[in-house]
Amino acid sequence: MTDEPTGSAPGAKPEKASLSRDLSDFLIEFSIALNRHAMYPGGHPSLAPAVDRVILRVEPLLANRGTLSLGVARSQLVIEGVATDPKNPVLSDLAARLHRHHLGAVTLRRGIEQQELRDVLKLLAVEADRTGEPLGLGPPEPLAAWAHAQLFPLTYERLELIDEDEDGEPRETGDHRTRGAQLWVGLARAAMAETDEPGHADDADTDPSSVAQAIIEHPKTAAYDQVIVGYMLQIAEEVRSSGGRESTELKDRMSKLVDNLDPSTLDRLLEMGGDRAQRRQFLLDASEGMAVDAVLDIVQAAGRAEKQVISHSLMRMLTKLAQHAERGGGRRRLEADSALREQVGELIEGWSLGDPTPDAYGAALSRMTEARSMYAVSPEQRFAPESKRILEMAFEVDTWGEPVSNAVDSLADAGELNWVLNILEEEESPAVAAGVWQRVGTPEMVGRVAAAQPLDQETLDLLLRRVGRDAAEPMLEALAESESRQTRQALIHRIVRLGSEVGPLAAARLHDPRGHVQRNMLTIIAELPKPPPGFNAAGYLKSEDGRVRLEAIRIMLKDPAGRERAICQALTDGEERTVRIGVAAAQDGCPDTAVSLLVSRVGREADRDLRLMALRALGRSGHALALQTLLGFAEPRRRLFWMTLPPKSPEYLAALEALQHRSDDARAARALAAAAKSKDPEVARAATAGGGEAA
Amino acid sequence: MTHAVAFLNALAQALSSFGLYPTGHRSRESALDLAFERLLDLLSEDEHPEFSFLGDEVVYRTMPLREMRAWEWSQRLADAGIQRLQFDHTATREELEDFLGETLARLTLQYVDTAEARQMRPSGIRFGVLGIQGADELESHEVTTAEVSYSLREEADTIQWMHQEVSQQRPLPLVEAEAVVRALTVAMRGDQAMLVPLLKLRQVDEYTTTHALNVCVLTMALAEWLGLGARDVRAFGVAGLLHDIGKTAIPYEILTRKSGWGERERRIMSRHPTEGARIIITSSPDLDLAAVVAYEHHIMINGGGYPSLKFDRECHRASRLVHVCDVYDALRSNRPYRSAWPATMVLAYLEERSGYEFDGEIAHAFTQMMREWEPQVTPLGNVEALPLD
Repeated sequence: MTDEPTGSAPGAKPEKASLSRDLSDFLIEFSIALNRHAMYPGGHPSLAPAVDRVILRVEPLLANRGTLSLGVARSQLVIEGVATDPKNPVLSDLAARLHRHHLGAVTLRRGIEQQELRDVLKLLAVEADRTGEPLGLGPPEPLAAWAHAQLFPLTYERLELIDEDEDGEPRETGDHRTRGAQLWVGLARAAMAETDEPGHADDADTDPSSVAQAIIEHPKTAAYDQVIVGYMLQIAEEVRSSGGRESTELKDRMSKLVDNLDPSTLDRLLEMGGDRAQRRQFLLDASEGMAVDAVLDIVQAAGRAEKQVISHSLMRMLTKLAQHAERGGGRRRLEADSALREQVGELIEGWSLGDPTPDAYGAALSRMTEARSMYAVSPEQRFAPESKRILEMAFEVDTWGEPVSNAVDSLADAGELNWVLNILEEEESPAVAAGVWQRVGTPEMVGRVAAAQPLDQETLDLLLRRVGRDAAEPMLEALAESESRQTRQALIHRIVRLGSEVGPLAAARLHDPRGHVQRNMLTIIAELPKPPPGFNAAGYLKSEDGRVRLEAIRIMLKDPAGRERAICQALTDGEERTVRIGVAAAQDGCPDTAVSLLVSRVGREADRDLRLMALRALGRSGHALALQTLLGFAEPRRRLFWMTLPPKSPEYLAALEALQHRSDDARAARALAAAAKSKDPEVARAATAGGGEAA
Repeated sequence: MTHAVAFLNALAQALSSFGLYPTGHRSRESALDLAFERLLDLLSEDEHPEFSFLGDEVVYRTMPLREMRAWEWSQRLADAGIQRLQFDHTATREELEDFLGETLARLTLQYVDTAEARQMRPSGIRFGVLGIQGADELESHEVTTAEVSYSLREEADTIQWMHQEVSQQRPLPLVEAEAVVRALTVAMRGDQAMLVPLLKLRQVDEYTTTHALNVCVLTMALAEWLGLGARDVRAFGVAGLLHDIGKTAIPYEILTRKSGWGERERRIMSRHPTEGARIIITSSPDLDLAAVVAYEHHIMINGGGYPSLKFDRECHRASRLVHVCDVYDALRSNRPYRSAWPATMVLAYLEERSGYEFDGEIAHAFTQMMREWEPQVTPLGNVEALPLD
């Protein structure tokens, strides 16, 4: 009772069968060389290099094998049990060319020389359609004229086989040769060949039991087995994909063949022929198209070849289904047949392991989560458990597993992340909490939430608490792409809270030519406690986008070295709010170079509030022009024999306030003293230290 | 003879007390003490006393008890499927208490914890129906048709193997479970009509297997009856098959304890839904429904039962469905100490508790289905009924 249930789960889709790189390269070079020989006359300078390249490719292959055989089908080549992709134009063209010559196989042997290969290519290059004399239908001698190469005809003397129309469609009249029959004959002939190469047995007995016996008795050689399995692969595919009487006959023949093979021979064929993907495809095709008992034989053999242990229990179940499929009555028979084939499909789908170790099994299980299986949610399954239920249950039983992981993913996809995170806050289950955070506490999830509209700020904050600074990059990305001002503001606010480390990331995005991206990144840098090391915003002072200039100025105002330039730039900017920032900055200390600009603003500024700000800023300058300007507003005027205060105005009051910073100047002191005596308490207050705000 | 009559009177008194007073109540305990005392008196002169309740007639061994003629409990016990009651000299007070509890449940259709009802303990007290000629109960069990040539031996063996695998901490064999469900689907298909092939219990240690298969079959049949699609039916079937997988995590000595469960054993036993969910959750990504059902199948529609949920929610439809099938099979199965409840009584139990223990719609559909399909609910394998006569 210790059978390992390694076939116990549906798995990933089988990968597509493919040739090894070496074989593929060789076939392509062979095809190129053949084409050149068809295009150019003998002696042409491009022919010899093409032959050399083929030799270069084939020698390492023959070093390991001794012999390399290509089976020929209409649009595919079969090499080492692997059928080439019929959609590959180069390889299907090569197959078609050989097929038109009625050739069943090409064999190259170790030691092949340039001259031999050149002759082979020259012979094959002559288009069969043009001469009307396919090589395979001609005398056999030219096909075996070399020591290290041989061509094998595809002949059908003993069979009522027919050709297809030129367009590939079977003819409905006359004799009835079809692809299925061709394949079977090819298999029979290959099986009964006395040598390792297919094609010798022109008068092959096509009875399945005879073919099986020939395969059993043949000495074990890789080349032979590969060719046999190559045919079996194609037959299985043909049985699965085509219908009709001939398909049924082919299915019967193939099933009888498998039935007559002893287990060790079947093992040998499945181990030797093809790669894993090819074997799995063969199994899937067989499970759909062959008689159920043959399917069971193949499954068992393939299980051994794949090092997959099929539990005794499962084999008993499959055998039972097979019996009912064969002998059950009516509806039950159909049910059993379909159940068996589905079950084999499920089983094979699970065979995705290279090495049945626990780790590999774990990896396979992981991959299986992506595969569609029998019980996966589908439109047909109306009562799949709700993801919330799964997660709640996981918390209740304090257990994490793949169903829970899938449920969390589904909830996130459905926009229910907030629910997930809230439940996480409330519940104590270390195992589940760790699992959930592993799924959702990621920068990617932050990016998804940040990019969603409308922005779910609560969810984002919950995630940020977990993800921390790793969230910066996806947040910046979402910020760059967001079209909502409200969202941008919310994102900027949260990005800034991540701290100065986001500065370099924001600076890196300034290369984005989009104005709003530059502006937002500059805003972030401006809001950070300190800008990124070495960062200089001066380059953005000349931007055409006023908001970009504004943010650049805000950054520069924080840097003592750039402050003076920033204030001057702001005071000359065309945007009022930028000017206002410049004037406000000058109120905290006005550089001399800015005085004339401020004075100019005072003289022409239509906005009274801004004018008053400028007057106050002038009070922060020691420059004579600043003093002169302020006195112009605040000095008493002479009226005949007495001095009168200027009429009360906001400008007068602002000038008085500003002059308090210049009280060391005699004229300023006199103006302040005069105003301090005013009967108007507002004027008097503006002239004394700590005076109130101007109106 | 005097001891026999005295015992039956004490038994009647104990049954009345059990109906009136809760567990642990002094009156109930003293009535139990008295009945057990009378039983010991009886056992002192007869090591294997047997009573048969035939309508208003009470037969002790082969002799009708004239004193008990028209004894009102005779008819009631017979109607509750207790036509034969037999004791072994090893019978204990706990076993007598269990018997009284079971009898009361049958008489009043009170809540039965199916986990406990399914306990496979042997007992010194055995009871059940008599194989009286004409009794429809046994006849209906014997229905066989040409279709019932489908042995479920392989399925049962596979389930047994799966349980062993899980109890040895190996991964839950999903492909095998799927294969069993597919095979059962095939078994249920006849040319004329659908069958519900149910296994009959033969040996104590086969119980878990038999029950898993039966619940799977009943669940699939009911799901199909309710019009669910093929995919749902199979998923429900897998869930039914695995609903008690958590039992593999319960110590064997508790599962097979000779006397009834104490508080501690009940607490441990009631963990099996949680254990089942844990096993399934950690085994396969595709068995989320089975995990839910394993977890919820003992929860009543009114929130009673176990486990209690932290998060307020209704049980999944599949859980409600499996709950009904689980109870049906638990009560309809023979036990070493009693024969199965009669089908009519189990269906009445389901109807009686519909709406607060069972989902009304599902319980109604189930009873309808079983009444319509009764001839097709077919026990398979060697039927080994309680040897009562």
